[in-house]
Amino acid sequence: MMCGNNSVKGTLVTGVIGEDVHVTGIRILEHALRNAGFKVNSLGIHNTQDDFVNAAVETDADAIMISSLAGHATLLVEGLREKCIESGLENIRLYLGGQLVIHAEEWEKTEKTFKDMGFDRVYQPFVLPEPVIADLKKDLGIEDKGLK
Amino acid sequence: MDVVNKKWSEDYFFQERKKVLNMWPTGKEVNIDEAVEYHKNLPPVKNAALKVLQAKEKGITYLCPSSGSDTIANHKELLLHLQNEGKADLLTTYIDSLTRNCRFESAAQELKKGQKTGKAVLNGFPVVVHGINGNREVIEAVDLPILLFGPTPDARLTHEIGLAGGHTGYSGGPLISFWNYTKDIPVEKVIHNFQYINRLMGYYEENGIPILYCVSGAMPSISPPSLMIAPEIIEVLIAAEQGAKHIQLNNWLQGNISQDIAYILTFKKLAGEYLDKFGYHDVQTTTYSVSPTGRFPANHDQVFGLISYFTMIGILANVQVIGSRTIDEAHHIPTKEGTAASFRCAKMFENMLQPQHFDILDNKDIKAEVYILEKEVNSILDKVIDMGEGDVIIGTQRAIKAGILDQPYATTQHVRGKVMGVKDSEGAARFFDFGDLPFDKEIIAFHNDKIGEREKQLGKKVGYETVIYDMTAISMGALLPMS
Repeated sequence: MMCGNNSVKGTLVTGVIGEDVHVTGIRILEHALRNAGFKVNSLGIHNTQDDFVNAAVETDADAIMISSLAGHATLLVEGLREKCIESGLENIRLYLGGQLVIHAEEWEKTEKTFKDMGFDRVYQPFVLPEPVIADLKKDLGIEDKGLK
Repeated sequence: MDVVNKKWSEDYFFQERKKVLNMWPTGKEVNIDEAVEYHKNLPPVKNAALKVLQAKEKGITYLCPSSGSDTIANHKELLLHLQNEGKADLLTTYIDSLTRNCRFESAAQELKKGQKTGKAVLNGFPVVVHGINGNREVIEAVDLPILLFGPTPDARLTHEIGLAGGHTGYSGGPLISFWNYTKDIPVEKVIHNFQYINRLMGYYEENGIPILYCVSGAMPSISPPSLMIAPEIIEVLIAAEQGAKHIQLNNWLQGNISQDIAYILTFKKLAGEYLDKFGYHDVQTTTYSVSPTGRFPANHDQVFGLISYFTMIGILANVQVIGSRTIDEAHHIPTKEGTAASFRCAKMFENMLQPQHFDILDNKDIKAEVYILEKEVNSILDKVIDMGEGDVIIGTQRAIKAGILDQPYATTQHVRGKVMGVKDSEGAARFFDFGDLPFDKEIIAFHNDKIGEREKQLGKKVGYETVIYDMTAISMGALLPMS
């Protein structure tokens, strides 16, 4: 069983983008992030880029974590980094995961596509929460005090 | 009006009806007294409530598909195939997603596309757009009862047209619709919409027309059964208050025999107790089992095995109806041939087992599951009723805010989403995270012990990885993930 850690490690905005009701993956990640001590502002399903940006501004978020399972991610997330910059979120981290493309292609190609769009981290399907949390702590400069 | 668990007066109900019947032009066709007469002239064999009561009396089990196609012609063809080739005992009209979201204009447009090309665009039958005559054409083409099917936050107009159109039942409910089909709609709004539906059913019942209401609670995903049974009983009480008299108890099977049979036995027992406790003495309940939506094996042969397995569990627990899944479920919306083949398989199994009246219900493992499950459901419901000061709807709203009623993987933003399940060493769903559920030490120890056994089996602590692999285990060919 994961134990909760009460000190807030960082503030996050999470959710699924577009006309997409696949919710299980992001819910598992949110559960793990909360247990690891992060403040998670979950937007759930059916979100636009503006929904994510507005929530990040409102909550002074350190990172936006987007799940996209319908295979349309390139259409849905293009321009998000620019929107963030325009809204004063120049340093916000952008993470992306799910089923990002419809056709099979080499992972390196997919990863590069989204990194070029301004995403800091891009994940393959079925990534477990633990490596994502480790990356987040590294990126946000959060020291692990040895508590899980 | 505040949303509370009180029967709507006829005045209030008819006031609401005026608004709903104006949501789409076909609403004007509804004349409820004419509809009651229409039902009185339908043969009893076409009434879903009467048919399942018969099954209960005779001690037999019926099969029921999830089925729906877009045009009247396609839907008739589908249902006739399921009736004649699949030998189904009941039929359903699966409501398309646009209609479920009250996007009637879009449903009409997509229907036209389907009519033009002959290839269905809609993923179900647009009940509202087809109007009363369209629905009646389908009802009159078959010899079996037809139920409307599909959880949704607002099925009010669908029911006005669908019931007047000759359907005699519905499968869905306010809480399953809330957690699994909405994002931002407050639970009281969804409940209010279902009070309307239940009050409409109550009106038909008052006028001598039995209507079968199948509660559904929540969609499981490695969910310990109390997470489904508690909201289902709340749906039962809401419906009974509005005058529903024939309520079917939906049992979500997940694959562990003792737990699944315990679900069926416990739900039936507790539904009866809570109905009695709240003074609803004339509600008749029947039981229905279904294997959950979750990833299915892609290989048809494996699915035949699953269909047989879940048919077995339903029959051992003496349910009245089995909602069998289909062999092509993993690939696309089931075809009529796929459904018929699946049903022939289920029926074969049923024909072998049912005549034997094999009684395994006095089994120690089933009894152990029943004991703990009763405790869990009573703990949750007693807290809900307490928080509502006797009103189960007020209690539900407060309990959801407090995490006393909770779900993993809900689409709605309004639940805590803290509870989570994982399988034990025999594939039963146990709590990996109890969230804020009001459970005592005995319940918590029971689940922790079972998880301890799984950890011994795995040789490591159970974690998110276990949960994820558990979710895909059946699709990969077994109850538990194969290493």
